[in-house]
Amino acid sequence: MLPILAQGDAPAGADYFGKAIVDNLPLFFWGMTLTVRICVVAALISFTVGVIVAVLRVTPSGGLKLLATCYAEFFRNTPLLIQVMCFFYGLPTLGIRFNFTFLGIEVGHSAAAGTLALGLYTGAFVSEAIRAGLLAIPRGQTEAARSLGLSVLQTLKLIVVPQAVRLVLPPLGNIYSAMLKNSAILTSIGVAELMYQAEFINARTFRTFEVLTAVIVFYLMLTLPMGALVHWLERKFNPLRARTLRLRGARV
Amino acid sequence: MSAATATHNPLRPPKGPAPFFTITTAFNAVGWLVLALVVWFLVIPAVRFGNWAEFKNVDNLLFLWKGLQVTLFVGAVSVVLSTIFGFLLALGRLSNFKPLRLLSSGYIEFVRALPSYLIIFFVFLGFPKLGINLSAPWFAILGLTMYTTAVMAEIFRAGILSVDKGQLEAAYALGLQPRDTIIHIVLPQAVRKMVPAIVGQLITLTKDTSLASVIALQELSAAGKQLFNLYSGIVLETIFVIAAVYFVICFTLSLLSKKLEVKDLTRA
Repeated sequence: MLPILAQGDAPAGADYFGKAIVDNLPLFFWGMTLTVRICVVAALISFTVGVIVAVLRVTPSGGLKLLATCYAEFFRNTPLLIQVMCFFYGLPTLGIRFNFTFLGIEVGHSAAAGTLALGLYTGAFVSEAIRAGLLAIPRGQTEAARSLGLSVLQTLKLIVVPQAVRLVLPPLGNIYSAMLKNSAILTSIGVAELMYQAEFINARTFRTFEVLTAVIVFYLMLTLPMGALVHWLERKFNPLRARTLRLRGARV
Repeated sequence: MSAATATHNPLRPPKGPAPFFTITTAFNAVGWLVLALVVWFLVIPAVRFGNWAEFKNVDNLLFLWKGLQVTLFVGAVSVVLSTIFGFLLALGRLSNFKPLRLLSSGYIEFVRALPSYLIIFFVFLGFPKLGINLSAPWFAILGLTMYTTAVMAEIFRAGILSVDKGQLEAAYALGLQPRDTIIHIVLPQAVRKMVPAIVGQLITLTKDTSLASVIALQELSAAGKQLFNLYSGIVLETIFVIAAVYFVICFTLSLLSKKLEVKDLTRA
């Protein structure tokens, strides 16, 4: 183990494991709140985009259907890091640089570009989940509704969507749980969220294990409740309950 | 009112030619119009005014190719290792030996709750302090394997559990040993159901290899970043080229996954 470097003005006797965390707790909490805020905004973006794209892909919409399919496939099959780079480095070359105040909070270019990329990346997955849910409704339902004289949009609104919601909710929970974890990637463009604060404190104090333990605990504080929610959704809405069969007598 | 309901029977289509203009026609027309606008104002200017000259230079393409080789190497080694370890971990989670079961499920749940970025970072920063020094590709492989192993284990476990209980009972009734039951009855049925999920995880892994650029691994996305830092004015062009490479790999895999998807096991 490397010797832990003493901090400049800290008294020698007051050192203990976890001091770097206790001293920098406000930074960690600031990072955690930023992670949560980014995720909320990205979730709103992704849900809006996802619903629109999914509806465009299942209703007759001509060229928009092609466009929506291209968006979903392209954003699903390229790394989030590349998309973040595209928005962060690419948009300024076109003369677009985000810098605005939203609800009294000043939003810089890196945070805005990162959130937009995260939202659009997740939106592609959301659209795919919603589309799968809409298509899973038996064709007879749509045909019956149409033959009763309901329009395409009425059929969607009154017949298909209420049935699709319970199919779509568990996968959506998984997608948003993954989004929470993916938000760590925004560190690479300097968004000061939880992971960034960890790297920053590590670079300042060199107490790698304390910082890593702390950041793991903080991420678990965010992801475990989310995971519990997903599990609850799966149990509530899955018609075939998750089976807890154990291979009896299997010696492996 | 009564005359209208008498003539408008929804079960009998109206006679005469189909209406020229319906709401569907309007939606389609608007859709094609938007597509045309997008192509005219975004795609054509991007191709015409983009600075593509640097990509006709063989040296630059070779530079990206070297990055792609690293990406493919890291991805391939990680997927092989994580499949092996994931299978063992899944068996551990399904075993009757309680400490092994708790250890396996603990690892799986713990790692799956963390960002893969954090795990790569953990390996890169933490392991050298423990005296374990590897080269950058092997740190990336270690981090990606640690994460993907946990996901693979869950896929294998779900696949094994999805095999119908009656199959096991029948095998035991026929006098097969538990080990033979797993090898000859459970696995052949489970693997078919797992293939789409495994290929899906392969896509995620391919995308996650780009995260290794933050630990100074010279793979495709890092090579691209160096390229657009080297030449001025080709930022978006480089990003599109790299994205296209990733897209080709991942989209091919997803087509493969769709093809391998078994809808009806009894007919497969």
